[in-house]
Amino acid sequence: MEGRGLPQYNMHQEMQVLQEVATVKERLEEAMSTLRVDYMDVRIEDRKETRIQYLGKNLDQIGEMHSFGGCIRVKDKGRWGIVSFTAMDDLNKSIFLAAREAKVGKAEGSEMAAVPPVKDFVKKPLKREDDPRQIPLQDKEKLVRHYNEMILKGRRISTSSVFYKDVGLKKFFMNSEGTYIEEDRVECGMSIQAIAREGSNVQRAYDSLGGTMGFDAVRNLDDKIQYLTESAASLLDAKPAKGGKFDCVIDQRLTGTFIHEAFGHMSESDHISENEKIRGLMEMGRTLGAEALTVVDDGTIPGCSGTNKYDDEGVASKKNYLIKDGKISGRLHSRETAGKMGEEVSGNARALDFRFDPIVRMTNTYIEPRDWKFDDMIKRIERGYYVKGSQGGMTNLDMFTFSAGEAYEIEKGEIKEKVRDLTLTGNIFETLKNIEAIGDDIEMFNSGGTGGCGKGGQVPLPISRGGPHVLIRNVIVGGR
Amino acid sequence: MTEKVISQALSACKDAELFMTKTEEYPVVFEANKLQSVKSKLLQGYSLRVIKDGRLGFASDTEIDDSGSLLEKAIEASKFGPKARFGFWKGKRFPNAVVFQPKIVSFEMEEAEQLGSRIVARLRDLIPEIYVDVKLTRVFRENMITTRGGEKVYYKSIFVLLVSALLVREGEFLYINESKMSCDFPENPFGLIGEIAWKEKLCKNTIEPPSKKIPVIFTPKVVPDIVNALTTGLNGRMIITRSSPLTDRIGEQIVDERFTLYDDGLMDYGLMSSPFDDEGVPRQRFPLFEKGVLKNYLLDLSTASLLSSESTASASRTLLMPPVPSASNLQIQPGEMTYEEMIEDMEEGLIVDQVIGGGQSNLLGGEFSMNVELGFLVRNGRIAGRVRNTMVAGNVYDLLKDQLLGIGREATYEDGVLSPHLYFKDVSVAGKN
Repeated sequence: MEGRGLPQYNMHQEMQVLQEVATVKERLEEAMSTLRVDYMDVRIEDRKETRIQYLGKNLDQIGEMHSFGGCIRVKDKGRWGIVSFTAMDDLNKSIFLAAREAKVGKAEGSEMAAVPPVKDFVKKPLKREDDPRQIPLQDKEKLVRHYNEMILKGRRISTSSVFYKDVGLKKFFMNSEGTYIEEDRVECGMSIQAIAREGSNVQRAYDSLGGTMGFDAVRNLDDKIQYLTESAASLLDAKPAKGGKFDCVIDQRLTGTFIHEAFGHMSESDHISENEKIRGLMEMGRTLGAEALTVVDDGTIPGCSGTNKYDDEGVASKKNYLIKDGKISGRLHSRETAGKMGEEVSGNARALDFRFDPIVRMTNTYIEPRDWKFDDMIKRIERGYYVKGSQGGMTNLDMFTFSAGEAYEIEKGEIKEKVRDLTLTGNIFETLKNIEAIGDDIEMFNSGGTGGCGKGGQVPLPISRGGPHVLIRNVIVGGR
Repeated sequence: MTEKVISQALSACKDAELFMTKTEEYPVVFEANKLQSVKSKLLQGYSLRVIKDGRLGFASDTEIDDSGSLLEKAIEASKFGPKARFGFWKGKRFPNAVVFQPKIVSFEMEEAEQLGSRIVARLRDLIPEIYVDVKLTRVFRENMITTRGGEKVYYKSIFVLLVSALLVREGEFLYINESKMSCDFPENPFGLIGEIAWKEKLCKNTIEPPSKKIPVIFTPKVVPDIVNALTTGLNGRMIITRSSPLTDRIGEQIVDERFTLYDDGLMDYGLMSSPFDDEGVPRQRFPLFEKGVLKNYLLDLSTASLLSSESTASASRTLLMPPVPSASNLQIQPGEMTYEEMIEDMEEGLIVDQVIGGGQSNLLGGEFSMNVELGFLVRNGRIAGRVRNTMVAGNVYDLLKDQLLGIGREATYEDGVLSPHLYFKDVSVAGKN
């Protein structure tokens, strides 16, 4: 028993909001004894979301969304039946529907990795002034308006978008093996965009931030807003980047996007467990990158967006080394994939919300720092780019792309002119080996607002990513 | 209950609108040749918008009751809300849209499993080392909108079939994705098997493309990624903020006169078709570009009111979100050239059939920069092989203005866009060379 250290935790005292808990628990216990399936779990969520958005000088939206719903999973002889629902009246129907679904098709049979049952109540202590649920709507609106006005005052700025979101989440999870977890969680973040325009030349600078540390994450952003506004304005003068093969130094934020796309998704075992060809390519110990390269996914870092004490199967989060000294050293698992591959669970089965079942996801992913200084990396480049910021990335496991916020040409070891519209691409089996230098200046970046990771239609899932400056040789750059 | 909520709202506020959506979704999922899961989603959402003291308020919930709590929240939000320069749509009439196919309703999960299994088995017969993912999803939706003008409802069915084939050879991955999605049951769900097998044959050779500007054909599968940049610029939200390069340019010749683009919210069995949009405004078919001239933006009630214009019935919502303008079914008018003629026309060129990284560039400025996931290099009028590690980049406005070589004669419906092949003269391609 963790958390509050009480001998026996009484859910009714703590979670007044979820009165439905007792009913659900009872129904599920009944169903377990009558349906005779191998495994069953249920996750119920009560979400309160506040959204405020300024679009240019107009307030575009302000309002509250409340949702209540659940997801039931039944496993029988290796087959899954899964039902998501919003109406409590549908609970009985949903349980039977999930059981029926699990009987469709022929049984293939696979065992989930065993984990000890857990009983816990998870709540991160938050100061009253940092709890967005305690902050009046007018104060939130005022802050959003302040940032918005700052952007609009910027030189050459034509418009703005400032989006604020907070989520108060109460959820509980229980399964047929005796695990029972309740959680009280707060997420708070912003997505900020400055748009500069001259005729048909439209340029933008974007940032998304936030996390689980409460309202404090969105206070005191004036410097950031200033930088963003100036960045959009100066992009108007930047020329489009030339396409081709270049040596690149990427900044901490882009390093995060790069490693998330270039390797993070590939270590999600649902892509690996059933495909023997990929399993062969991803054998433990295989050298994939430079010796200096160590990649970590860690769901326990305080304050990061992807941090959770437990994943959505009730498995404790931990620090997982995905690559150690250039060699594959670990993977991300659900109980299902860990069972299939005979490996340890990692605590990475995550669901966006009650509408979805948990799938294997990253939490907070980064490249470990080494001892290179930024200036020394730039000096090593004859002709290439210094690439900063991130507009996102994508991968199909083999190939990946990641887009820069802004970039500068490098000539004979010196940073030169600013360029725009840079998208970099690579493939997992070559690009990681082309990493030549890893910096000493790690930073982590939280997704927040509208940002996050997408997979199987579940987007935006809160994650963090980061690392130090990194020098990569021979990167293919899309440009004009 | 909905009558009660709306009458409470109308007595407390100047105007009110209640939007309800109920969705049942039934995906059957095969991964790596095996049935992975059978799922159901039973979701509902209610959104209330009010206009009080001239300001707009919004609140939404998965349940409603007669306690008035949703109304309270909407009124609270209206105190800070934007000034409403419009009223909610009270019209009762709406056109007929063909969006429901009873066969999809009677198609049970067991049949979906059998269909999926057969697609997997047939593909494995043709290409033994293949790994196939199949997702068959049936969706039923009930949308209802209630205003002072009364209550309007429609029902809709959707059938989505996604097939993704993966081949791993010497550390190279080859993905071939094909799909069928509409409000109708697919006539021949096995048709995409032949398509995958044919493309797999074209991929026997891998070729490095040149890094320079060459002619490029975008197939109908990729056109939605290109058109995405246009619809971003056409979106009313980008016009009211004057951030779109298309701001104040209605009536101007923007692109080549062979390019005509319509938005058709009434297209038979179209994925996005419906009798009325998510604000109750009757759907229509209207031009965005006619012979290269900008004709309309995509507007909902709010953006239209700020531009002193009419809604184009383009309001769209997801479960609990407020409405925003969005394209329905897009239609690019076919041209004269066949796909074969385009290929024969190229001395050295690229066919782009799948991309990754669409939508990550400066869409508003019309920019795209994407990795070619599936693409073929053409030499002397014939497909020479598959390309890898290749980027294709450009500006959609520039390409459609100065670089259009031809528009395909036949249109295919992919991802909500009815489009022919598009053939451009000079497009930047970057590879290892």
